[in-house]
Amino acid sequence: MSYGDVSRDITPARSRDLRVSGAIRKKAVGGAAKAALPAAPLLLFLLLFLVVPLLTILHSSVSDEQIAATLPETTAALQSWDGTGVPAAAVYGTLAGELRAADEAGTLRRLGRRVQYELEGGLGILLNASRALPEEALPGDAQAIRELMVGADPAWGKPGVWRILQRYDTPYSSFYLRWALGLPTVLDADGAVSDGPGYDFPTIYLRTVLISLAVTVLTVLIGYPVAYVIATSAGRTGAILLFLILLPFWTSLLVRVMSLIVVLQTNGVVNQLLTGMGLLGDPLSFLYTRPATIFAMTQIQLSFTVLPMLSVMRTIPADQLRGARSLGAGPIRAHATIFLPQAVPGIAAGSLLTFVMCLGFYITPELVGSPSDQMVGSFIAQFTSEDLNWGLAAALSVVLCAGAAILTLPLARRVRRHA
Amino acid sequence: MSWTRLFDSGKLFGVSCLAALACAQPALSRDLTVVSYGGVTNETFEKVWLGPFTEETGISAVMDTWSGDLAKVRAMVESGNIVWDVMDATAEPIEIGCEQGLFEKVGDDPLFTEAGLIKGGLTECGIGSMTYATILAYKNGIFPEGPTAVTDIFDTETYPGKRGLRKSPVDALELALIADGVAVDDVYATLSTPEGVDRAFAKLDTIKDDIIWWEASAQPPQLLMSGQVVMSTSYNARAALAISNDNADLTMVWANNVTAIGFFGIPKGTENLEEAKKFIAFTLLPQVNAAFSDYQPYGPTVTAAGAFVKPDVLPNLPAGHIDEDSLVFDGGFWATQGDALIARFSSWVAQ
Repeated sequence: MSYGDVSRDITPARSRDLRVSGAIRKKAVGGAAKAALPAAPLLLFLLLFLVVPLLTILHSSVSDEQIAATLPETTAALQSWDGTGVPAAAVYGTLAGELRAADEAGTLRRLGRRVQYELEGGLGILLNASRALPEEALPGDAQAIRELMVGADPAWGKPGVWRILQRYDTPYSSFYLRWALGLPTVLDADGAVSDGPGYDFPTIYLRTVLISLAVTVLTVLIGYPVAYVIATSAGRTGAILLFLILLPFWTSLLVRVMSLIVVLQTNGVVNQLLTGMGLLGDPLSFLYTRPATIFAMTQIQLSFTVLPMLSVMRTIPADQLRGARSLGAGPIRAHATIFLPQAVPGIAAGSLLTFVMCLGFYITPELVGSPSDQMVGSFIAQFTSEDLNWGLAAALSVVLCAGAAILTLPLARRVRRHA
Repeated sequence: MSWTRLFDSGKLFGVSCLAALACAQPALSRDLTVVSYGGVTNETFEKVWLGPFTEETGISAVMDTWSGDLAKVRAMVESGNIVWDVMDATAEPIEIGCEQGLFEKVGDDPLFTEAGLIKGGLTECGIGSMTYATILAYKNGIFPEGPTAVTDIFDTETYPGKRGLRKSPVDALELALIADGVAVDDVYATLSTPEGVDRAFAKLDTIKDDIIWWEASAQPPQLLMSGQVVMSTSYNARAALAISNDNADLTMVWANNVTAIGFFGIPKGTENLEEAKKFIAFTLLPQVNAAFSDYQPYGPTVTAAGAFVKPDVLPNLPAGHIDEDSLVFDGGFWATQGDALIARFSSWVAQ
């Protein structure tokens, strides 16, 4: 759908619909069955591709069956252990058998990776134990197995690894969510909470919110005058400006970011221009920095902020401004008291749209930012497709969704009230 | 409004999940698919290996590109929809994947045991494809006297400016230790201790703000030529080709280089297992094996191939630069300790 066509012959009632995209929901729920029928394909689509994936993600953020599935008897046997010292020798025998089975099934290493998420060096500890077991039949004497395992890795003589295995006799846990929230989750071999190096997710979330906020503010500051000019100017100027705003919509995001790289790089257009004019001695290294990230995102999001503002501003009658002026208000006062308050719902809708979209950015920061500018979306992508840690990726998404809801709900209410 | 937008961010994630699985397309009877890192390397593969192989055997073969991460192979093997048959990779994904049962254990096949591979060129799942080195390339004309060793990348005083480094703990940690004074022979022993790992990261910390990270092997010459960095680690062939083919004004530094063997692996369960083995065996024929270096200076993996390497290529091949200062990459080390180091590295790099 082209925004431009709609906003041209806009009526106040329709502009409200545009502002509040929840109108779809309103129609479906509030309207009669007659109205619901045409919306049925949409509802079905939402159910299949929105609600179901969301529930799947919610499920995988708490589903944690790796340990219980690979070591069912060990985790069951550990339930009667009191958590101090080490478990009885028989448990070592059970574990040895299950490690052997996991090794043969090719799941040992995956189990090790899972244990390593919350135990320092966990993968090595499991691999060492498995390698220490004799090639042929396991010794019948559990005590001998215990000595073999402790000899292979001293961690087996300490409680840390056993406490972790003990926790997972159920297929669900809050582990990934705790991890995503930045709560201490990693134990060392002694079972004490370890402060070893790990992902600092709270900082990454804070960074995501701050970058999104900066971009939102910038797009409003830059977009407001543009929207005002388009809304108030008749004829050609407005049309041309609107065309310029819509132009980026027809260009692939990747192409736009790549062209920004060409423009911004050390030997790029901007630097050559500035050094060529003698304004700069040495070229600036602007690419791969936080400002470059914000700059690129602002450029991408500008139209998303402008269009909702524009659709609202178009409904503000120009007569009112003229009336205010004729009653003696200066241009600034007339604008601030008459125009601006009526434009607020548009500003709110535009900034809400941009803010929430920014929270999910990851390709742009990856291309023009440094590793320390990466937003949470990059990490979700990394854990999904590189590390294959889908539990953590899902938990990060759940926290992001919940956080976005908490942050944007007040603003969303404001949009609804004005509408 | 916010709820619809929120749902969208959820949907975005769902879509990216689907994208991750997108490689799992239904497979009909496929052509033999060989996978490498893309760009010039893939072109060379087609020219010297795939083309002649098809001519010789009548088996048609195509190239595809991957970035070296195992996730795709794992998704492929676990879903049973295998679309890649021969993977050309660095040692660590092959070793790690081998232990996870993602690659066929063909190392004891007489096709390969009797091919005359160089020492270390044959593992349980990996068959040597080529030798390569991580070297340092710098742009001429910036420093009065350029860096003289790969480890000079850590010397920001003598050589200020941004430097390119591969966004991976592989090579970076080894080089950090050598730069910090660890003897080449002790690097992996030191890196096996927690103190050694801390020491390597501490050394990396000293230049963290000056690093521009690269991921694709085609990037270092581009970063150097666009002036984004003054020096960068690079695979030897990429830098050599940039100099010879694109007239890049670069110098390659070999001292303290990290020499490694690349491997072929066969994803477990492929329907083209026999063809894949045949293809790999074909690349091990001495003359065919050496032909790769005609186009790209990556070295042969078969001892007998040495006789077929063109003399003017020799100085650009890793074999001529293995000395007491160079490190021989230990894929086995990365297979056992890699997971923890990679996790620590990726959280370190994002801070």
